[in-house]
Amino acid sequence: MEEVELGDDRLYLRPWRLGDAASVYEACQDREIQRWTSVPTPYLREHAESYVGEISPTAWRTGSGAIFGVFDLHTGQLLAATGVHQISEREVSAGGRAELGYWCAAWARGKGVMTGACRLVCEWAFADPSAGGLGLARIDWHAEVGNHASRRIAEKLGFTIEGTLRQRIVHRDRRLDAWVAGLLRGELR
Amino acid sequence: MREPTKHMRKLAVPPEPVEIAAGWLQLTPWSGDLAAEIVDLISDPDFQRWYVHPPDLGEDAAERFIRSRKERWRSGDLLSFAVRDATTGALVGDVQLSDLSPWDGSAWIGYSTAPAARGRGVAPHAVGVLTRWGFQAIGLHRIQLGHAVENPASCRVAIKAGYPAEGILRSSLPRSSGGWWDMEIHAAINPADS
Repeated sequence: MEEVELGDDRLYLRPWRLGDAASVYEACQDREIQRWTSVPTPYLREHAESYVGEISPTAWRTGSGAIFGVFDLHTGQLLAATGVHQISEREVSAGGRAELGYWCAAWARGKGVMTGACRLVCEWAFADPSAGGLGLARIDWHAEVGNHASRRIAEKLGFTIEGTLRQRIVHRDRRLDAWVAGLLRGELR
Repeated sequence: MREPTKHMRKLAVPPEPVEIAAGWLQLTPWSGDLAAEIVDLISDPDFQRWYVHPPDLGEDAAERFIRSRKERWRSGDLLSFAVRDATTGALVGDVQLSDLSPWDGSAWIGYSTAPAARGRGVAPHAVGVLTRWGFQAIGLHRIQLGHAVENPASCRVAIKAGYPAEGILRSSLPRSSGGWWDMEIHAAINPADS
């Protein structure tokens, strides 16, 4: 899959580069990111290097995922990560599907960064391939039950909570229930 | 974001298709003696309608079906069984586990019943047997199934087989005729893990 960049008047989204490892490492030391996402704990420098240098480029190359670093357009500071992964069924004429995932650096919270960045990704993912998009019909979201901060972002984007999947997530050796939600083309806010 | 974790679960998938005793039913590998019955089963309109990727019909359909089931078992991607009447040996349906994930011990289950065998509880029984096998022999933790909300017969099978409903995911099940069904998701959890 061809790599793309997205953005607006304050956010710049681009595929990760090797040079991002240091700032990803710094952002992922945050307790909230470690509490609610599947990043490794403790989060080592090598995890960041593998994420920006292997996992993300491989996802782009194989077409299984489109993962972006989110940067301040003006300062270049790392703000967040977002992307769609498990892209599938793109060959289906009615459009494919994928799952949205994200984390926001502690220093960028409360400013609408995460919602804005995810909106750019969803817009692109729903756009027709003739317009450079992925042509998805549905975007999935799931999070551990109780992750209200993530759920608020999903709901602001227009996601509908559709159910609770029992013991769907393995997190730090514990099995946890997951909220599941979906966003259909045309529902993005 | 998803990254590799240390929770890889060793799944004990037999290298070749196996047989599972199921009382008045028998779950068996697909074999050539079933060829005519396989064609009847997979050409049934309900089968073609509700299966996400229904097998191709046409020439040598049964042979291709048997071969693909064997190959996909060996690749660990689909564990598909013929469901037979244990007394007569007649094919009464199919049941399968797919998308087995060593990451989190989850898998999907699917099933169908031949028209002539409907109304006897074939699918709930076969699903119940395969579920226990999936938990006890394979080591799965969570088995889930999805059916189109327009398919209440499948929902009844799920409930009877011990799969409570968890939600309706809109536009989530590819239709064989194009587009998407709204999908109700159900799941069973391995009681030994709780």
